[in-house]
Amino acid sequence: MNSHFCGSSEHDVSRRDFLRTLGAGAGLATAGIGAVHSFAAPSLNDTLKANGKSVILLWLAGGASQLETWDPKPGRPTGGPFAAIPTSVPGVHISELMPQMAKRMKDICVIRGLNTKNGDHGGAAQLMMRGRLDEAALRYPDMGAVVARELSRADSKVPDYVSFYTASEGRDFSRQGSSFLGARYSPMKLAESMVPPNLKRLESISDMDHHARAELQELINSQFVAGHATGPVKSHANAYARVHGLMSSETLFDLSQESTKAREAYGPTLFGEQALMARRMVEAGVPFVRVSRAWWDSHGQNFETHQEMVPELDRVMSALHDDLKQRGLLERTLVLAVGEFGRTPAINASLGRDHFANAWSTALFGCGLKGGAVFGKTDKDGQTVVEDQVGAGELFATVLAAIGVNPKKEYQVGARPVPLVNPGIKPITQLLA
Amino acid sequence: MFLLPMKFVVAGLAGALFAVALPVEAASSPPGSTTFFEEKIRPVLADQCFKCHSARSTKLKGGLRLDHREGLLKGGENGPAISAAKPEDSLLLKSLRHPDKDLRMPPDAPLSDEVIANFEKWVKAGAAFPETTASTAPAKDAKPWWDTLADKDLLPADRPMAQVVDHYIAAKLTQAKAKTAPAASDANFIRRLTLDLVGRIPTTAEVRAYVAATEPDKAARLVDRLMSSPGFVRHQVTEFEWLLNEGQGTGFREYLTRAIGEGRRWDRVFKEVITGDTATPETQGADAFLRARAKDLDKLVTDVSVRFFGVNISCAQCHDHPLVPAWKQDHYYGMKSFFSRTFEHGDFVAERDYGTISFKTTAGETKEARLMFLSGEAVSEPPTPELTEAQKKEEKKLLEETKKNKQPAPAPKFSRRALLPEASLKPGHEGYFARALVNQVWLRLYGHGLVMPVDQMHGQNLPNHPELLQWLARDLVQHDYDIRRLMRGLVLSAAYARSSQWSDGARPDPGLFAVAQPRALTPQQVGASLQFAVTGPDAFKSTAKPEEQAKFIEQVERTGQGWASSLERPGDDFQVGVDEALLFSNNDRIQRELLSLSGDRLLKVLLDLKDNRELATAAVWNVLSRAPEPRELQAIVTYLDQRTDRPTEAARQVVWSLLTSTEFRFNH
Amino acid sequence: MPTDPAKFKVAKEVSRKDILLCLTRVPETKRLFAGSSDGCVYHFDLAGEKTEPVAMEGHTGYVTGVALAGQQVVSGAYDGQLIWWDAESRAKVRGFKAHDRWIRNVVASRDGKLVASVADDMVCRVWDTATAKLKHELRGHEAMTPTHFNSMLYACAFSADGSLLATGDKVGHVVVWDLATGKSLATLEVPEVYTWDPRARIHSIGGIRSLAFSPDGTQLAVGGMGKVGNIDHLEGKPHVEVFNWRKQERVAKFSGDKAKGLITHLVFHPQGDWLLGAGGDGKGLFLFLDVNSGKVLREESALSHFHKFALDESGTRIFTAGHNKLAFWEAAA
Repeated sequence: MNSHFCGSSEHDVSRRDFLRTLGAGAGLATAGIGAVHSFAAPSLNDTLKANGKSVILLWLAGGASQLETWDPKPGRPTGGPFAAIPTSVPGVHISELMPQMAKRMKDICVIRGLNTKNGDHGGAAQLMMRGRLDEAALRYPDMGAVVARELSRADSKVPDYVSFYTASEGRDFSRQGSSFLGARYSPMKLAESMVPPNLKRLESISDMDHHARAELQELINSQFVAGHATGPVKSHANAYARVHGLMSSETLFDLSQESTKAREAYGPTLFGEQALMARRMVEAGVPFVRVSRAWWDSHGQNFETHQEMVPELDRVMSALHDDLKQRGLLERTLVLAVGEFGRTPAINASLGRDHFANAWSTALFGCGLKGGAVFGKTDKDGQTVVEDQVGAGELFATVLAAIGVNPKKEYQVGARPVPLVNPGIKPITQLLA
Repeated sequence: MFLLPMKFVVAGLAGALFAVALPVEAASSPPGSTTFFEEKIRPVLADQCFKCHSARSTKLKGGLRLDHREGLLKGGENGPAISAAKPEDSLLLKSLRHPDKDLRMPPDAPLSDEVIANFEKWVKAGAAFPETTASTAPAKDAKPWWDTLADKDLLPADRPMAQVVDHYIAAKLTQAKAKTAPAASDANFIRRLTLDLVGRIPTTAEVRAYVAATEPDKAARLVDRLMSSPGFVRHQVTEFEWLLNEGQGTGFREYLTRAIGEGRRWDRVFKEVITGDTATPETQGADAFLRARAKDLDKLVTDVSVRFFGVNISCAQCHDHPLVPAWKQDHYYGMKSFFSRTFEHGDFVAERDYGTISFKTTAGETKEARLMFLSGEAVSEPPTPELTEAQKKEEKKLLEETKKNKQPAPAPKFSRRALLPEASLKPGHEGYFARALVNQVWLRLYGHGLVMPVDQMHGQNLPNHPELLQWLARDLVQHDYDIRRLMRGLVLSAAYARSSQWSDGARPDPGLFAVAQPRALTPQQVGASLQFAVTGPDAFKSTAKPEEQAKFIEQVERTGQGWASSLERPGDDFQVGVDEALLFSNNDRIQRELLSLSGDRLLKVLLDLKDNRELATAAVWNVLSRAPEPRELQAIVTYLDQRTDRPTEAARQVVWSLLTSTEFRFNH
Repeated sequence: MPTDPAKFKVAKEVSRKDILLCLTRVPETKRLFAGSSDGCVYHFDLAGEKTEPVAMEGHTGYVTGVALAGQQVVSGAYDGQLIWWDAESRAKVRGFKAHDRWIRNVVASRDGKLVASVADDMVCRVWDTATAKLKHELRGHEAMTPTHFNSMLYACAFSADGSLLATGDKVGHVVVWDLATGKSLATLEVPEVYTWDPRARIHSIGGIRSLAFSPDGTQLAVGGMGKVGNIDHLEGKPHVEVFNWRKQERVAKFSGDKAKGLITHLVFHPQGDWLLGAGGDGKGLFLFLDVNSGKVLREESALSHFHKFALDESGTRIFTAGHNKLAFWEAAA
């Protein structure tokens, strides 16, 4: 592919085609339509929009305050200093720190009745990522792995599950992983670098040799694989077969391909850049991208911290919304902003708020979710959920249902059927189209 | 009774929640009904009130009990909790709604309006409070599920193990009218065996020597040679360290090295690991298993059950097992009782000699757990002492002191934990332990267990070869739980030595053992094998003394272990991830460590060969432990011939493609 | 004879449900005006048995600045409003939106003729107390931090003669202004009070939270919190630096030893005996500092987090406003 990227404007076109093809390949394949001709550009974008769904999880690690975002309580002793502002949905107010999201409220769902009970970072992060607590002997796959498993296809040229988490605090708290779904659906974790490890060809090997040796390997493999056609054996050959596709997706990780305008919209912060990257990825057909924004754990100076971080969230989330909408990707991309828990209504002596999981909020949009819907209600001081309480399981089920995956589906783990969410847990139908 | 750790309470609650989750049509049940109570009231009482107001309260608050109807009517220090005459004035309802935080119940957070409304309805409807129904206690004389044949109907005990294996497998194959794969080639066999016994691929010289050997018992000789080599202990230690402790724990590797090195009985190892007694030099480090789990007793009891008895009873924590009628909550909590007095004490594991646990049945009843092994037999123990306040203080002081001085806590006068090996190894009950061990070793050598999955050994999941499992377990028990004897017997069977290749349509059911299973190498096997593959053949041919040779082999093995941490340990349904493929494709460690031109490296040796055919042949031998197939040879030679302008790079890519081949990644 | 800092003891405590964020004192009295998290300014009289708080309603956000300027009290709040009150009748005289974002502090010159307000719009506005006319609009602070987040302008202080004004922001930048011209006379950098954590948590904590001129106007004290490891908590050491601002030379640097947290307010003893800083990390803290010797005279953790305080004319009484608490401290004779 290298030869296409010499930088001339003529080749810009083919570069775009290439990216489209990447995404389209995955999209079409999901629908079961065969191979795609790389140069059938014009119609591809439409096909892409109509097919494979994706999820972008904005992971607000450390616990963002619901009172300074989606469920303000102005004028109450617990309310803190921020005002609430009206939104494009009459009667719905959110924190003044989110004026951009307020304008887009018609497209956004807010859940104000989360009661997840667990106020410990590690346990709560696992709970929110997996939709339930592990059993002593059964670790559940997380949301990314489940979505990757359900929406990816074997010969995809892009990663199935990408997870950005650059801050070091809390990075390993959710112990992300695919568990019994296998390494195929483990996240490609991007921490220190925005580009995945080992994606770039070593300089010492020419592109030609890189391909030629893979052919030789394939030839050596062919007889063995044919004679040992078991799942694990095939997965090995398959993993190597995906290498060149993934390497060609290296451009995916190159933000300089984005216009100045797009980059400006998302802003110059790391979170903004990673969210833009996430958009590039879902466009190319990556089923699940987690973009983590850490670390919200404002035990001291809650209001200063939220004054600093919420405007960034507002900008990034609204830019993502607009970008997806403009590209026609909103119908097939679900964006969820949530962390492990919210923060206490009580304000402590260092003007902080502590961990709180009994009555908090999340926001989500896209994939046909009912925009403008506010589900659940807390009391006037935000201490308890008084209407439509839901837990991590319902949120997990809602995400699955919105992207067209039946939450009641079961995996077989040994002799035991394991449903995607615990028995009795249902999606929030009020939010589903 | 010592203070219940929070976890026990939570475990009980999970039961309660599960109970409410079942009937969904609850909304319409009338408030006077049992259903209403079980769904709307009891779970809340259990969740919010029982901690302070029930039989399980450590300290009964206000003299009030809310776990039976009489308790509510009788009330506590402030009078009756419910008034039969004027239900709406009941103290219970008032305190649920009380605006003053100090008078409100529960004190931490008020109940929701909806829940309080349910309580009002319930009280007004007469406060129905049905007696609890106990979950069926397991029959004491429950027959172990594995008794398929009478002992006398098994093949004789003195029959060689390998023959027994083949006898039973052949019988089933005949019955299933299944074809079998031919015997693996000698080169294939020695590779498989070397990987299984010493954890690496054989050297070219080892393969050639074995292929050339003509003795009829050359396989047995090879097995014996490998099993007596130091590499055998190293590899088995790695495997058992994983099996028992996920490859972790300070001192555990050293402990296992001593135990496996001296051929210690495996029942003794089990005993030492469970008691965690590290008093003698031989048992130092044995407590690593307990240390890793003492903080989480649910994990401890589940891991003990899975790893030593092949059963995963964790489902029975919250309710009787849904799939296995034989497993009740009584089993789970009975097993847990062996460990309920165990606690973490600084860097040590300690045990009290008092304390019991109780749990909540799905019916909402609180039960005190009885010490009980999986067989369903209750284990008798001395009466649980009640400690006086003074004794408790004394104990606390002693614990604080020893913890501060980094000393172990004093041993209990009576150890519950020590009863588990006793109860599980006594005649008639040892089958759980013996079968689990046989099955785990079998799975490792055959790529598919006699029972699959290995943690589901129960009556609803019968073995594919029940008689064989029974015979092998008997043999193990009768021969001092000798794992070397077991492994030796298993690898000498014809079934073990079959080819893994199957080209005749769909592969047969792996439980028939008609064809060998390709098994992904463990990270340690990959690491060691990579180093053996890239070390030139002459490096092993030195005329040096055997000790020096052994040292060199160990060094090569060790060099490879750096790779192990980058790879995933294969489990059931293992899949190779793309990150592994990317790592081997593009990380420069591959070039530096495996494909360098220095010293005794394979690449250097290959480049000294004049002829491309010779080069290709040597490369395939060194990496894949066999001669090249004609079409491989041709392909490699063609590749090399096209790159005569850069022979070093060409040879390098050839070695790369062999090292990263699927064949190399598997034990086949 | 200078007041011995060791002699200060709590003489009176008033428990509150709200958070008192600022206060100003009527000279020669024990009467105070304090701004509250409930949006009110309260008048307290600590002279009698009962404090009889009187609420003055007008703001719709945390009241973070209150200054007595002659016969008027001027308050500012997170709602961006400044409100003029009659100090005696406590009636609202006027109010208007003075800043687009949170007002962080309001101070008055000693003669009461000028009032200055600072806010997160990064502008300091100087007002004619009598007419409420804008006299100066002082712009000398970057709106964004170097890492692209909104900055904040927390602190401002007049010199005793009313000719100078200092302002300090989140990243540690200080500007000294000439009020005759509205021009900047000097700038100082105090980066130590701002912790940007680029690795573990990717946000920041700290900022210049307090400023004070020495009685002769030659020195400027700057307060905040030293570098913080875990920015989830106010766990840095209290930090004060004193400058000869004209020479842009630092003359003293203090760091707390026992207590942790922010220095949210700084006042020089009227006779220059010592410099007093107060603040906290949830708990309150006092730092009595000797600028000449560079020594900490007394470091004390007490009550709950102090937001602002007032020192009386004799330097023997301290009035503190803080979290759920108003208190009065006296140096025992």
